[in-house]
Amino acid sequence: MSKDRPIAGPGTVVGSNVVLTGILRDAGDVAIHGKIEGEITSERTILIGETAEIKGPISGQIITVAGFVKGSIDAGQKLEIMPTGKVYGSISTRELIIRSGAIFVGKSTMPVEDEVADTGEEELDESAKSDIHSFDSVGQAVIEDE
Amino acid sequence: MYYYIIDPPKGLQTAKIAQRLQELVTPMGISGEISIATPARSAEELTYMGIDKGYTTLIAVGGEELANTVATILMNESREKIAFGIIPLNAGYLIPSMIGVANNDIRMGVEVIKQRHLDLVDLVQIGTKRFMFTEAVIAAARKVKMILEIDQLYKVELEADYLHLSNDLILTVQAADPQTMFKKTLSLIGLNASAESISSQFHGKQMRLVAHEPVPVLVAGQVVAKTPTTFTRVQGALKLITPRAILPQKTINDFPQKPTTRTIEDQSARISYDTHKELYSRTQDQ
Repeated sequence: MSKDRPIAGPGTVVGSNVVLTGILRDAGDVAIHGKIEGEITSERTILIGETAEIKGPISGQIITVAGFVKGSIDAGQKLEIMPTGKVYGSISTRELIIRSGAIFVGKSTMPVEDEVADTGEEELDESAKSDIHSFDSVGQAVIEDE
Repeated sequence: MYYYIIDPPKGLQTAKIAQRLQELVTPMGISGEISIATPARSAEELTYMGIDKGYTTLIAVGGEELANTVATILMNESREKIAFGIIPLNAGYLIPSMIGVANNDIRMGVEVIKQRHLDLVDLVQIGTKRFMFTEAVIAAARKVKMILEIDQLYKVELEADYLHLSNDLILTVQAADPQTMFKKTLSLIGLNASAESISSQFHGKQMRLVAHEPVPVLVAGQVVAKTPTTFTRVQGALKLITPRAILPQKTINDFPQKPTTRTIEDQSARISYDTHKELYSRTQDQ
């Protein structure tokens, strides 16, 4: 399998009756409604539809999950887990929204290095950063948005 | 010098077209040799003759099939430097959109040729020897299990009877499985709103399609290959004569579509589906 740059183009849509295995890399938007076993990477947004089942790591800028994900999620800007979304795995994002009814089992990390540097305040040591900005969540996370 | 190849689709009078063309090109200063395809001398032979005679501009006066035939020969003969023009005659909707010339409007076509504005357009190589710069469909009489491998990165397992391929290697898979149709019906009566996104779309530099049984690949209604086959995108390979201020690198999704009952993302494939399904049926009947 080659490790080329993501393909620029109109984006990828994986339909509900499709099974995809391997590494899906795309410079455009990605929408998944089928089953995927493998890695998904996008330089833009990734939408995991209600009918989607993903087993593997996901990496993108803005990720919305309404289906099933078993694997890590790395969202550069924002991760939103919709009421029908189920996420089993660690997540890393700057902005996290978990809608009521969503299931999230795993560890969440919010990188804030830039903010600390910008304020000019005394830099926190690594353990302190971890204590403040990370938390473990097991079971059903119910974080009401309203 | 200009070399015109006339091979109109059935139903159009070749002699009248040739006469009209002659009347227009001479006063515009783009006269050249006008050759007419006949049963004894095919458009392919005429194209080879034009290349051998050293013409720098080849003009296909005809439909989508002729345009793709000339493009294929130019690519196979490594004559990408030859400028390629089209005067579309009953050439469907895609070529007129690409070159900004309405079907059967010979005057407009000649005027565009006279401007000689060149744009590089993408082609898709199908297998080893066939090229197309319009669109292709992979159509089966019934749903067939297929495996699509894209850029040697990932594999897609799907079951489909219709796939559409654009000249920039965007593959759209129609997927109207019973479950989805059921969902669509539910959505129509307001019980379920999640019936969209039934089709898939993939893109890449190279795709290999393997089916459980040979499935024909059609370009302009003609079978040009059968699965298993490989589709390779060749970027900016063809020097196409286009009018100024018209971008040729448009995909099928960018063109005006006729209204359909399907969702927006399905429209492009739907148009092609209607057109090519009919063509495919005719091919099967023959």
